[in-house]
Amino acid sequence: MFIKLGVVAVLCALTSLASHYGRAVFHDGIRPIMPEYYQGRMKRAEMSSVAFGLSAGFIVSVGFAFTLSSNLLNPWLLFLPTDILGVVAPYSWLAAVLGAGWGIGVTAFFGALNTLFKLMPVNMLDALGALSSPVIAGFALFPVLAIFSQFGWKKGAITLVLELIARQLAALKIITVGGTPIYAEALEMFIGVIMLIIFAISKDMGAKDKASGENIFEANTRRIFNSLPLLMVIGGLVALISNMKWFAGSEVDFQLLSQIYATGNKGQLISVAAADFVRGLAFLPLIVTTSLASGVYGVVGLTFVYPVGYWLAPTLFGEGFFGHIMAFVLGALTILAEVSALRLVGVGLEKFPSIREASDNIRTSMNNVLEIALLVGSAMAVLNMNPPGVQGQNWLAFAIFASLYMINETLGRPIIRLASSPLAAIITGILVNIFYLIHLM
Amino acid sequence: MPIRIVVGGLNKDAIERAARSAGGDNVTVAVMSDFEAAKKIKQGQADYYFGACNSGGGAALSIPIGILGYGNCATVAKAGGRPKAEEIDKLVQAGKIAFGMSVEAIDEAVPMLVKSILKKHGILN
Repeated sequence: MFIKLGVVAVLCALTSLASHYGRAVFHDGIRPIMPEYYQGRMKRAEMSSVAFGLSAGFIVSVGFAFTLSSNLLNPWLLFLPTDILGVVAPYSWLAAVLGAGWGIGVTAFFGALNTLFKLMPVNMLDALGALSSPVIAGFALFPVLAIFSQFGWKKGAITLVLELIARQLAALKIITVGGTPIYAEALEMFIGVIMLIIFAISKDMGAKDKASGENIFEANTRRIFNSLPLLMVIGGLVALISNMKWFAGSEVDFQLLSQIYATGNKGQLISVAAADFVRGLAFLPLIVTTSLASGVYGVVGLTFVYPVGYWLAPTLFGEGFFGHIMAFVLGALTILAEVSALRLVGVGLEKFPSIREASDNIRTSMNNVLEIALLVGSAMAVLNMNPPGVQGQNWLAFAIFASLYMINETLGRPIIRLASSPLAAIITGILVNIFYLIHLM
Repeated sequence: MPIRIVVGGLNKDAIERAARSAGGDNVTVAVMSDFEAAKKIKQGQADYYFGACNSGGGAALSIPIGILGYGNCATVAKAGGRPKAEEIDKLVQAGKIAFGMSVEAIDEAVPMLVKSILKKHGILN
């Protein structure tokens, strides 16, 4: 526990400093505004209120809900606040202290909360395992949805058929890598992404639009390059906390990782890593262009450090102390590689605007499917919230869950949908315990 | 001449539908990548930019902010907040041209935006 607190404290102190110096922020919306602040056109107070306004809803909804339901820390919980704290603090030492304080406080708080949940008579934590519904199965179909909306139904249908055939070829072990079976969803997703890229590039081959903004991009690339030592240490630490099973980086992986860590079913890690990798590709255009346009990088880079930490490092170097060290090293090297390739990727993206558009479409469909997966998964979870010795489905819990969900909808969704179902499931768990304690269940 | 609106960011289809039904013949709506959309505005080939993302300021506005400048952009509905018609009116009157909103708020915010814009240009009272 002390090691965990220490590592998280150092990490959060560094991300807070990165924000303070305008070197890197987590929120993609704060990044393009940073130049206004570090070049002095915007006052600290104004920048602080912008940062707070853009992030507050996310910290409370996504940040809290994901960590409560998985018992793993997440970047919205750790890094959105350090974005804000770094900007709010007028001195660098204060930024570091506030960041470290937040990291320690939030880790200790949620650790204690988790212990408290475990002591409750109606076990809600095991039930929440059901939250990890077939997210991967749905996720593999994102490229198809994106192609449907961007390139029409014909190309969409062709992709869908190809994906499903590839899926079954892998599932039936007809296609293997040197005898090792490939995960069906991983191959399915891979085929879809390749198709999407082919369609996008062939569409853009015709249109010729000369790239602009070359000069700012040049200066900004240099600025990010100069931030490399700090960025690499941060990237290494993020890979390390993923490797230590303390942290889940994305909405795709948090329930799956929590489930894998609970059951020890490590074979699944590769599918989760594949899903996270593709999610990273979907976010890449946004992070790269905002970085090149602002000279401010992302504290977790292009998010590839997550799977590097929880999958690549243990696969290559085992799970011992050496594996942890190598997770840090590989994480840092990942950031180095990303930043070195930044300019090149930026030029490529300008040449192929359809790829940018595709990434928006992927993210839209990703959100839609995850909203449904989390809603269904949460409903399944609350049905399993039973007092000791009781079997069957708890429809009282379902009634509470449904009312909480609907209240959020009618109030105009103060909690965003991605977070509202897991959060409703957790509150349901607490209320069910109260019903049990006052003998109404 | 109809007001030319370009749409980037997430859930483009939803914004497009909402803008079309709110603006009717008074607007033209084109969907493209945020990068192209912002460039169109800069080159004077479009008048207004709408975009959405989860927070209302990330994928929704980050590219327009980079290309058009922060002063021309505004988030009208953040995650967890609801759009307010008077505030949108003020922002439109103040000359903002690129608007971001959270995905949750599209159905409410887009009609308000279109209304305010049409009012500003004297097409609608």
